[in-house]
Amino acid sequence: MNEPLWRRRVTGVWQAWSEFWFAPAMADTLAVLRIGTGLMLAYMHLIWWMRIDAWMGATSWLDRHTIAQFHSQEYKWSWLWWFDHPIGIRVHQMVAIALSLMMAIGWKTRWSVPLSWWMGLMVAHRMTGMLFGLDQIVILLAAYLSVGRSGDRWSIDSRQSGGSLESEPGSSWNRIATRLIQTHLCVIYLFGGLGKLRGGMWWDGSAAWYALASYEYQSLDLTWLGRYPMMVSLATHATLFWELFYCALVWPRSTRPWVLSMAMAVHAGIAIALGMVTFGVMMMLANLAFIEPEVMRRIFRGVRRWLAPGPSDTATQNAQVRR
Amino acid sequence: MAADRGKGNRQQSAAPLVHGILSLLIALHLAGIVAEPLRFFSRSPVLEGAPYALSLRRWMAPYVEFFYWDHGYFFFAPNPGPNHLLEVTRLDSDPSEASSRWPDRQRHWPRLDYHRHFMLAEFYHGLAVAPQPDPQEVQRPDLLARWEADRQRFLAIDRSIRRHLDEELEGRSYRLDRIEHPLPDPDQFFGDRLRLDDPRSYQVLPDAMAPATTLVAPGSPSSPVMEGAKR
Repeated sequence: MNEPLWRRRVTGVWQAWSEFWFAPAMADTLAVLRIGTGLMLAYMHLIWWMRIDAWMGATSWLDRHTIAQFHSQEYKWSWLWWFDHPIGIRVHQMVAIALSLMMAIGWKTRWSVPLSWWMGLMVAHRMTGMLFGLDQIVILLAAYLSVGRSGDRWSIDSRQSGGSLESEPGSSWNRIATRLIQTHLCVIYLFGGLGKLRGGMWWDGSAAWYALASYEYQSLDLTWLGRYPMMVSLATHATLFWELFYCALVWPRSTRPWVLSMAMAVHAGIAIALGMVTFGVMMMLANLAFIEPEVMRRIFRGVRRWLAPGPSDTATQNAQVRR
Repeated sequence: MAADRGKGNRQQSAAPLVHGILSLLIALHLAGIVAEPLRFFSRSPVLEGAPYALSLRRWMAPYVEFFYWDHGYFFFAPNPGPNHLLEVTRLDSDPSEASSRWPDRQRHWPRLDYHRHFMLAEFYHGLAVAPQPDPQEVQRPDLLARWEADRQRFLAIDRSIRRHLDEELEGRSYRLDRIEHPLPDPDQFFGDRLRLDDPRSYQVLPDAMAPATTLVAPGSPSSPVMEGAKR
């Protein structure tokens, strides 16, 4: 008996959806994201630590009572609204740094990753007013990494398992975590592009100049580019179109390398020229979510072989030399 | 082996249900992460956002706000604009050494520390509300109520910053100014040979936040400067 067309279509859509979100995936790509995000979280906590009394103390720039009051009409909450004792906030940051480093090295990953995310979230709700895109992307990555099993690769956990974790075929949770990162990136770039469409400078091609001429951001003087308006306007429009169409062009295999290359170029530019190294690095890292775990594994195997050639590689090289 | 097969069958039959529940959660999550950008992007001078976007944002508020998904993602948008700094001028010292700015490339290092101070200055500027409502606001009770709420919000932040400065400057009198640094266009930069950090390009913003930062008479007990220092 033939199924009605509508039913076949619905089944097809459901299968495609399930494949997209739940097909088991390896943890290699997530492991790379986990290492980078853990290290960056530790660094961010360390920077808060450097002036901890000015940021979180009783007479900090924005004290805890002020921040709690500021968010009183919102569903935000942080346990850092409860205390500002010098010892308390130092212990808090020490724990946060330790957890972030555990996340990076992949030790007790099942709980060190969610706890790192939670500590980051608590600090973010306390430090309102001092946050920017870096905090958004790091907390986003930590949240999604809590869903996946990133500790199955490149981790203390996988070493302690004697390799049994590494030999597992993959998990749907890894796929879900990866898809969540990917779709969130699409949302970020789409609305980043749509936001730019509201401004005239992105239409007339001058926006890149004003970004370069922003002294407070500038870390590398590229104002000489202003002598070449063709280049400046081309860079402006390339950025705009790339952001707008990222959410569509990053999925097909044929366009993905171009879209990701452009992402790397734009974020490297932001890191080097606009003084936001941390933000630029994290955005580049997040874009790696579009690299298949198998490809990531091949890359790392290649790097490992290059760094420490094993006996089989040496034999192969010798054979090539003999030939 | 039979037990394994049974377990496998149970897992297979449970998969659609589990996937269905997870799909629902994923759909809700996706609605959550687009709620704020949709509202933010659809603002206009007339509306705070498209009505459906406002509804979605309101419904998703607990999830969006607690989990820190409440961002519009308007990086350098709609246009790259002027930068804002804070300047503190001590009123009891040598004028050449009297003022300091936030952020400061020399003092605030590493770069992330600099950026934190930069964001603080921008945050303070972004909240600044004029000390008096404008005539249009006076005539409309809803606008007046909003002005009052925004003003109180700003003053709370202002008071906290001043408490911090009072301690840092050990009770000395000072003036706190918002500084705006507009971005030069290519003609100004190349034609007038204006350096990006030319002191003339930094403008002290008018007393949008007076009386708290307006110098009435230095040293006068009723001066807001003194108020700022003693508070």
